[in-house]
Amino acid sequence: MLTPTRRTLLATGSAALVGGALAACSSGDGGETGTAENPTTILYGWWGSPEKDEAIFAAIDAFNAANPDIVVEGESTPWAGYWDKLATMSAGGDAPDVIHMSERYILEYGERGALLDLRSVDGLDLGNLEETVVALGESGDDTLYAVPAGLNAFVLGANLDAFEQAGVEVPDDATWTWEDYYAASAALAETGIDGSGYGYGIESFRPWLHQHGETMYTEDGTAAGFTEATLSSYLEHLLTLRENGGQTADQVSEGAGLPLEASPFANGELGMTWLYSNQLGEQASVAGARMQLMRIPSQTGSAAEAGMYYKGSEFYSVSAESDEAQQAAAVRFVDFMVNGADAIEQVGMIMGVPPHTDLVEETLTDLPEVEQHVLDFVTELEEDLTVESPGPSPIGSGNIQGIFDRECLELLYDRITVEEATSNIITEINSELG
Amino acid sequence: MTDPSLTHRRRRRVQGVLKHVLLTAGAVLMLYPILWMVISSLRPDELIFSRSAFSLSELSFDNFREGWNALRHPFGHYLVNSTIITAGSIIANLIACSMTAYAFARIRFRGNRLFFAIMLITIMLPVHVLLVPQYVLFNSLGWTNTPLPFIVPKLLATDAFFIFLMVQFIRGIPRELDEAATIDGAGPFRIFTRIILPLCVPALATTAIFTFIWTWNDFLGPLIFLTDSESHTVQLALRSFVDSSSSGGGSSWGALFAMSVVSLLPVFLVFLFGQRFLIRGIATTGGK
Amino acid sequence: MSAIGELAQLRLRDGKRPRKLSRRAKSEERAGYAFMTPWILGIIVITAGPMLASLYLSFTDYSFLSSPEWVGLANYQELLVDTRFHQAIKVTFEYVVISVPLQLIIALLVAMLLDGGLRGMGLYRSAYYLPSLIGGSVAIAILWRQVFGADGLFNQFLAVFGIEGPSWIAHPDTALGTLIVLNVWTFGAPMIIFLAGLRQIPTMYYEAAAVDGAGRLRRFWNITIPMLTPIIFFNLILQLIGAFQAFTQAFIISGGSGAPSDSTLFYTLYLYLEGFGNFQMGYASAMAWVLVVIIGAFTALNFAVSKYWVFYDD
Repeated sequence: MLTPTRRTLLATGSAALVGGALAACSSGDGGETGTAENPTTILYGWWGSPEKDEAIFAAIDAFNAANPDIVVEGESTPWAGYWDKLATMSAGGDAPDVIHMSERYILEYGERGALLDLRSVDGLDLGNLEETVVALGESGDDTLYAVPAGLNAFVLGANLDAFEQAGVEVPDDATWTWEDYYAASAALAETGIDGSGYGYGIESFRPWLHQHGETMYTEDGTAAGFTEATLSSYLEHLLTLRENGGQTADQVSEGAGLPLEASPFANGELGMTWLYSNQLGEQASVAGARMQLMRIPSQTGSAAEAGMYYKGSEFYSVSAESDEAQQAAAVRFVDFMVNGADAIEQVGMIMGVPPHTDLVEETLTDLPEVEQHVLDFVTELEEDLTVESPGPSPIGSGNIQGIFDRECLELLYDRITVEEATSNIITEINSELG
Repeated sequence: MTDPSLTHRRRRRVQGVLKHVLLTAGAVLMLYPILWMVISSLRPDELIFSRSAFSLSELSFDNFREGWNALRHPFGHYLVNSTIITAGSIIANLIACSMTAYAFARIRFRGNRLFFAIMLITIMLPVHVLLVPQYVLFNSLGWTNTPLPFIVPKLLATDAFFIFLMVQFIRGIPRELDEAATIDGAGPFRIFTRIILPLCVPALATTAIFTFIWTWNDFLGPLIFLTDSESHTVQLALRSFVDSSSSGGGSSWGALFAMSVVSLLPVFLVFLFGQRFLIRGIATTGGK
Repeated sequence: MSAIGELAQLRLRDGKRPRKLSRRAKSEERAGYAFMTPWILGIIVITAGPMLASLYLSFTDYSFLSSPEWVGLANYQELLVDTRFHQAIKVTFEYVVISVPLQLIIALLVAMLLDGGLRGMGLYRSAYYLPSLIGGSVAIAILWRQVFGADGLFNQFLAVFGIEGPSWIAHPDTALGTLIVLNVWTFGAPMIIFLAGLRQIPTMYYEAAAVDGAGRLRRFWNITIPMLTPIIFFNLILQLIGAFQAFTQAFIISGGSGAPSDSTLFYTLYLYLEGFGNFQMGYASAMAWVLVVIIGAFTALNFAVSKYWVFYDD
């Protein structure tokens, strides 16, 4: 009995001692779809904020009203504990039927058999979504574990008021190069604020790699896919930025544990920062300043060669543990969230730009100025996306952002050299993935 | 500390003033965060994080109004849930821990030491690795979304911290008192209720106060065992104001601070009134 | 019954006890088990299952989502070569060694100050306890940066003396220090326990000493401290266990990562990151049991040494 299934193990651990009275609950009472008199009940769990909860519950109400054979129950968990709870419930065979997902966990859950292939059950219409968008939730062998609830991109944000006060012209982000970026940052720094943050990590390293014709991971996701030289050039770039108005190591480190709303950018102490496009609105409102998104600089002065890509900000997936009727109902609900005008109207831009672009154009007509800017920016960005969208993060990649955080900070503190940081990062990434 | 010999009175008075000065200076240091929190709760979201955290302009109760109604249920709902769990936990701990501690400290039975060692080991294991098995256990009992996962274990004396605490206190009670009662024909149960418990009031008060605070502030337990928002507690509600995911940005910090103040109020009041029991006990039978 | 012996002696002593008990001892034993019934039930029903399950998992590769796979001692062997684990041990020991004594001494001193019958003591006690109430709040992350940041309160204070301080919370060399300060600052719990302990010292001892003409200092050294030793011992053991398991404050202040540069990567924080963040629950369980052994060794050592300084009235 060395390898019992996890549920028998965990249940017997305690249950045997209670006197064998306990038995693990088994789900799965067979395939009938619900009726209006006897509807199928499914549970949808997401991480929330008051605003998001209200929107999602309203969308759920709209779905329930239109689908009498299904009852969707909603369950919001604070982000602070969402993943701990999802892991625990999944271990107990008790995950919600519709699971709110993040890009980082799609394969961790999917490849371990916890998520349903959304194409294996009828009911989800993917026709309105760009192929590259669908690919964001797909594994290497084209299993669709998740579908994006919203899109964003990791780009630069600029505080226009700061530019104005510094008398610096806002560069044209369609044509700017890294040199232009350094120059703008240095000019901003002349006025006493900091020019730019670094945004170091996977999300800004990736475009850098694309600009050098390399990729983050090898095809099978088991090792770093880039060369030492390119990583070194990226680390040198961080040091160049430091010389040109980049934040001090102290400021980077202090800001790392702070909520967005308390960041130097939101406080007007930083001219440019790296951020996810949907984070701009909150920061602009806290700062009370005019802000805009900017495309990532390129080597050549062409945004199409900047190597940018869409990122799924949040995803919907369906539990593989649910019974068939629930899976069918869950997929229908996901379809409603992605393709339903009612849903998009309720949820709006809270989870990023909804991927059904035609519907967005029709429904979201009355957005606040900042959100309209974000929507336009993300929508127009599509023209500049020339690289294949990187799929979900490979299994075991959960610590990789942490590796960048540690090594790049050490580098900015001058506690290690570029050579040391390069070899540390590659060694550590390979040991995480291997 | 009251030996009122006249010659010492003046010196004592000076010492008293000095003590107050020292204590007040210390209290300022200790109160700073609360002051900061209260002021933040009265300021609009966008000013909470500005550098001038202590300016008193633009104060209003908007955050309280908003925060109270921002979540799925009015905030009072979560206060009630927390109160039920907390009250049950206090009663359970007081009964179960004092009984167990009395047995450990005073009664000779086989396995006493072994049991004590086992009890200590249960505090040494980090709680994180127990969550999954505990969830499976309570879920299979059908206890999730009820206060039972919090109260029943405490009724079964699983809060070893307080047992250990009371053992130490009971061992400080002179044994002659038990022996005198035994000679008078009292059994263990009588000794426990008539002698040990009354002399243990400071320890019982400590247990009650800490159980209150720790249960009230617990996040991990409610997170795992309470899934339905109907049964959520104050701490779950508070964290719901903040979405710090990379896609987030819908955090309501003002509401968080306001409701944090609201949720601290009962704890502070309980402490303020409860602490007087800390200084009873033997003091009532003789005064120190 | 004397001190609660060390683990090693448990079996021996229990075994030596004569088989046949006197009637009185028998009835006492029955009473003992009667009082212990809730605890024994609790161990069997609530505690043992999850603990044994985690012990089993520590010998497996377990990711929550697939069945545990037996790997023998592999997790424990991995710990020997895991450099982040070694960093976590280093950070935790440094934290324990500095913050536990510091916190206990301050808690005891403040408790002595607050023990008098002075007016307004209740308010003082409550004020001094307040930081402990909010020590685990998410707001602390922001507050602590406003205090120990580059232009935080602490540096403004230093500036009065012409000292220009660094960003204490940001630099990898000083970040742990700010967490130690935070821990010391939340000394409310041991303080309260000391207060309760001080109140339990029978007044007859002080009266007798006063008759003998002992001064305040002598009464402190000869009565207060010895009578308080069981409580000091309790606080020491519990703070030790608590410090080894320190999690919440580091989690909140470092944003859950042990930043900057793993300088606040506490043992349980790393355990949590590996278990829940990286789906290595088997590995995390192994870490948990290694921690039990470490804490257990420290506790046993303390119990052994306690014979020489802890005074019980029985």
